[in-house]
Amino acid sequence: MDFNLILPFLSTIVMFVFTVFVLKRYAVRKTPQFLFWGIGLAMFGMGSFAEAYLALAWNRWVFFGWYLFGAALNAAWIGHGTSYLMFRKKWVHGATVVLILGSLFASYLMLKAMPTLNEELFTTEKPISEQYGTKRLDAGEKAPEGVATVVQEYRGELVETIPGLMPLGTSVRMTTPFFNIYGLLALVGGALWSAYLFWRKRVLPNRVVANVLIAAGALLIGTASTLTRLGYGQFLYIGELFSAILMFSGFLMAARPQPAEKQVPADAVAAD
Amino acid sequence: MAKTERSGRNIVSQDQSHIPKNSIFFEKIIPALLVGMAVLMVVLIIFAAGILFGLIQF
Repeated sequence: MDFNLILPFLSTIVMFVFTVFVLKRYAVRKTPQFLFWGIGLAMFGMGSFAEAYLALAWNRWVFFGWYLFGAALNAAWIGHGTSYLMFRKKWVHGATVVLILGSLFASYLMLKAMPTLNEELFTTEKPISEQYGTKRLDAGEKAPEGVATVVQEYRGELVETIPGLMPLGTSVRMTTPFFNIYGLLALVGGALWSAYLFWRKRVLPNRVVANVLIAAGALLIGTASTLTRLGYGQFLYIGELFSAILMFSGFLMAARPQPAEKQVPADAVAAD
Repeated sequence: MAKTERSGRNIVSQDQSHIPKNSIFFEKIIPALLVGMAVLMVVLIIFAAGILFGLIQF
């Protein structure tokens, strides 16, 4: 087995421990940020588990979970937890309704895409991130050596494609940028803003570093996912593992009590 | 000696600041990381928006 295919197993273990840790905090504190972080991290973990499974065998419903939870929804749900720390609750409650409805709509589109999957193209020889999408080749662009291409009609024109499990124009793929933009803004933006506040006030260096680690972890998976979109899926699993480790480290560091916390200004507690 | 100031309803103890003075890590590396990551975040958001608006094919 390719070493790259072992990485999702490791990510799954890290994410499972991370999720349990966060949900235990929710059970104690009952604050919504821990609930949304926990749900988002569970989705991330499901995505990692699905990747690990799909490294061994095909199952269309595992693929369903991989794409919906691992690629589309998890960043938005994790980021939504951070929104509860950054903005007024009444606004975030409104966004919660939009997030839930949007997630249900994405689930519906994913269900609709299931009968159209080109399951015969699946192979355990390649990570799922390198075979799920159909890549359209631009004019003059050449497919890598040994990779078969297909000419097909798409939106009224003939285009050359490298076929993947999901056909060209699968509508659920158009929803992922919405979730990922929101997730990235809320999670990375929130962590960077919190780090900046603590840094500017020169308090709680553990939370400065913790938020930098969380932002770095989220950016790492965001970058790896972007590279996957561009056809470089080989970085996704290593990115995912390091992302999980960085974010978990950041969370643990932020959770560590500091002697000066009793004197923290109220507007600088964004990354509690 | 502890020096405190009142800001709103919070009392901030300046001696309780744990960010060390003259630390290269906190004075140079952290600000650079914050700026660098903010730029990367914007780039990724522009990329995702490019997909949404059909400027980037996938």
